[in-house]
Amino acid sequence: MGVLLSQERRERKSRREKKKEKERGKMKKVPFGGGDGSITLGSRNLAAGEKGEKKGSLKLSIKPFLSSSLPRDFEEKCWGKLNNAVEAVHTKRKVGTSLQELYNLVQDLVVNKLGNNLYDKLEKVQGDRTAAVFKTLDGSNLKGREFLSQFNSAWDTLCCEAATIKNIFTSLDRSIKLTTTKRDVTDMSLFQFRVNLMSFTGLQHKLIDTVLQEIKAERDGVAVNRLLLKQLTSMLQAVSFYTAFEAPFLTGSKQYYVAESAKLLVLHDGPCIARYLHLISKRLEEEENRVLTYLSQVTRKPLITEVERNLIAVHSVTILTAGFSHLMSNMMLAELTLLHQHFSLPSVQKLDLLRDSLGAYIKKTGIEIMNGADTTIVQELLKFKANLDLVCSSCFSSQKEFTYTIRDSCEAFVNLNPSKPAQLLAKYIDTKMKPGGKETEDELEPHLDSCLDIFRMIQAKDVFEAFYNKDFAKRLLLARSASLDLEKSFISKLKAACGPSFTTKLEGMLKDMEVSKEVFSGYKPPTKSDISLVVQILTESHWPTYQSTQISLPPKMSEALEGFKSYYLGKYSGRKLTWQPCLCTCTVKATFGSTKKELIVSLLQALVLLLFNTEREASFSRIKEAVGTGDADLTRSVQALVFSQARVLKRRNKGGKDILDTDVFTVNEDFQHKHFRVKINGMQMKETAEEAKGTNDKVLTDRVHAVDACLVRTMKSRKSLVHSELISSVFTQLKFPVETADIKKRIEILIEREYFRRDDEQQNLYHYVA
Amino acid sequence: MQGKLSGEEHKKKKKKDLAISIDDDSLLLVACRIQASEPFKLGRSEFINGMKSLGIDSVKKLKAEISKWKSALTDKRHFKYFYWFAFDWTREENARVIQAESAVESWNVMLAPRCKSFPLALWNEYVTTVHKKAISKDAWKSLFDFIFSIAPDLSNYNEDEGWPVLMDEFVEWAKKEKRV
Repeated sequence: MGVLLSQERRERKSRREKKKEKERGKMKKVPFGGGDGSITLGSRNLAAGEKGEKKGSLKLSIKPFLSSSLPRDFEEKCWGKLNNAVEAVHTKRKVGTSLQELYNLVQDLVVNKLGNNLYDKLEKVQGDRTAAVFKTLDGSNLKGREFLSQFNSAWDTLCCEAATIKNIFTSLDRSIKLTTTKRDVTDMSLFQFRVNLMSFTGLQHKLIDTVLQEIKAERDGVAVNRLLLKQLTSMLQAVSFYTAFEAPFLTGSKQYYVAESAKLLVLHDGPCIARYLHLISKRLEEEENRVLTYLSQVTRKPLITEVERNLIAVHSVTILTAGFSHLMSNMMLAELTLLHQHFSLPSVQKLDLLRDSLGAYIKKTGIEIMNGADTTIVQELLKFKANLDLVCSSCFSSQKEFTYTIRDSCEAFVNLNPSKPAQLLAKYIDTKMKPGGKETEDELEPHLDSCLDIFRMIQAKDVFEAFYNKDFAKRLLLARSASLDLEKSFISKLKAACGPSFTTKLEGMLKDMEVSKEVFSGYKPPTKSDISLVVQILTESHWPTYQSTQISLPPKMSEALEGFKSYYLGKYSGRKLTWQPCLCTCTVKATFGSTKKELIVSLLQALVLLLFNTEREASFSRIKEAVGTGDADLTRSVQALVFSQARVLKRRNKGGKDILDTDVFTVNEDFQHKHFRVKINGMQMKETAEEAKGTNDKVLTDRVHAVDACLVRTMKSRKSLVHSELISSVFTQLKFPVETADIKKRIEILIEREYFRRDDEQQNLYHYVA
Repeated sequence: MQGKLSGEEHKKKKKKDLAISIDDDSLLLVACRIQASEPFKLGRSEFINGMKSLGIDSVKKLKAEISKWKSALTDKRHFKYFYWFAFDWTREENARVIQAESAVESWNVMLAPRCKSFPLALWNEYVTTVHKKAISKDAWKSLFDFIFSIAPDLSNYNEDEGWPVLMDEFVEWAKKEKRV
């Protein structure tokens, strides 16, 4: 059996297999859990109850609880419940069914592929609801703020409802998003809101207009409900309606500021402009704040641009013409800073206008300063420049262009008068360098720096040089400098500003003083002489030229002088010494009655006084004869002796300030003075008007020579030049201001003197004549 | 033609002998051609040598030559040279300038007939009434180019071209006085 079984078994297996296949083919293939609910396991049908058919299939079926198809009114029932719930939400009643139940209802519908129908129904219900709300709003009689509140609360309500509904219909949302491109529930609500807003145009305009009125009221200073406005603008943004609001808002803002600026600028004067500048800041700040608080960020740029343009840019010329001078002359730094800030704003960009105004103001004020009294010009100028620098640094942030404008405008007005500023500046510095000023040395240094600033602006630097050198010489000779260090530092600053050639003479003078001391210290005067002599040796080329007057010295004096001269020439052969009587000071011991005094006088005055040693009284002509000269200096010297504070001489006859030849003088026996040593104008410290003119004339003559020298030099090197080239070459070489006409005149004179000639054929060509 | 005579005498003699008018520039032309060296003088030897070198041996020929020279003056270069010579010959002895009045006389004789577009009368007025100072050689010479290059209403005057200051001042005066 065993052996047989195995073969039979094999046959049976294969037959069983084949039957299984057949059975399988016959069986209905139903999904698990659905349809009629039967499950088959393998090919065994147990329910069949066939006995003995051990080789048959085994079936196992499970039946579901519910029926296999939906009830027909399933959808309707569901929707009914949902609709009730939605209505309840709309009417703020309590919802009957629980939210969870509703949620499941939705889910069921969605699962059973009824989602789209559901969506459409929901859409309609929501749409109707929104429309109804809008109708109510439209019919509302409320205005202003109350209207806005009403609108806002309507929106609020709709939003809440939409939120609740969204919660209920979440599954619908999900499936919609996954399968279609339709709006989800939230978007749908927003869309419907927007559609309604657009169709109810009256309502729309009312809404926007009311909001704009509120904003205008706030600009006018009325307090408004900012939160409400924020909610409304957020609403508009949410429903993509913001731009429809933004456009009229911007237009309204523009009109508002056009009107405001027109109203405020009606006065056209300084204080009005100052106030206006502050207002601009205030308004800009306000609008920024407004955007932050209740507008969309996208509105910021266009709004600010409108404000800037209409408050500032449009009126920039008016602001400057009406207010700039006032602000500058009263040094209203805060307002000037504002002005600069406002004009720098991106939509304004009017800094060039500001610069032009600054330039014009500087020139105008500068000219007024220059027309003032000579004594105050330099101080006023220094003050003015200091103010300008202050304004530039604190208000205009020291911008380069402003610095240039200041510099150019200052140069323009300072140089209108060709020589006066240079002369006055030199005089001013002279007074500062002398002792007796109120400032300390430390205070003086920066003060001199500001003087140097003004110096740099002056074109006629050679005029300054002439006057400064003259005064410097006087200060050195009479030891009237407050501080030699200060003098030296100023000279080095001049050197830095103008180059070493400008200060060679000054440095030479300083050196001379030092060397002179050394040389003189080696001189031993003969002990017999009762004149004590102090000599200063000056190198002629460094010092200004002085008049050398011929005077007759008494023998004792000339002896003393000769003594020194031979000593010096013995030491330094090949040099020539010339005495400068006008620079000499003498200390004369005098006895007036019983009082002894020492008088410090000029050499001329000393000679006059010495005359009275031998003569009781002398007429002016006698004095002239004795002293050996008759020029104006003598007159001045005698005037000083007779009319100044210390009246050493008396005039016998009555007369005016002038000294006539017939005036007779005697010594004033009753001369009194609180000091033992009396100083009588040794050397005229104050410059007379004549002297000043003399210096100016010398400068002009020097200039003419400089022009000639320059012309000859240029022609010599270039041999032949066209007129225009010659002129421009001379202009670049000369360091002082000169007119073309003057150069032309010199050219003609040089042609006359046969330094050059004109070309025979070409009128404007010159040739150098060797 | 005897010896060295002073200008006036000689001119008179010449006038008689040769009927050379001294109101026009014939005399000047002669002087120019023989390169007379001293103003207003025609030295005897100068004259004789000059005539010899020019090949003139009769009064008739001289007259003919003079008219030839006159017509040659239409060439600007000849005219210029002649005009320049005139300065040297019509100035006073040892002077480097010509007085305004004599300058004006010379100009009227020499320039007026040959340059019609230039407002010579205006120029003369300016020189005698406003400028009044003597005329330098440079100004004299430049006047030649001036009168031929300037427009009758002085509109094309350019200061930067290197005209002497006298011309600058003339144009300024004329424009200010609205004479052009």
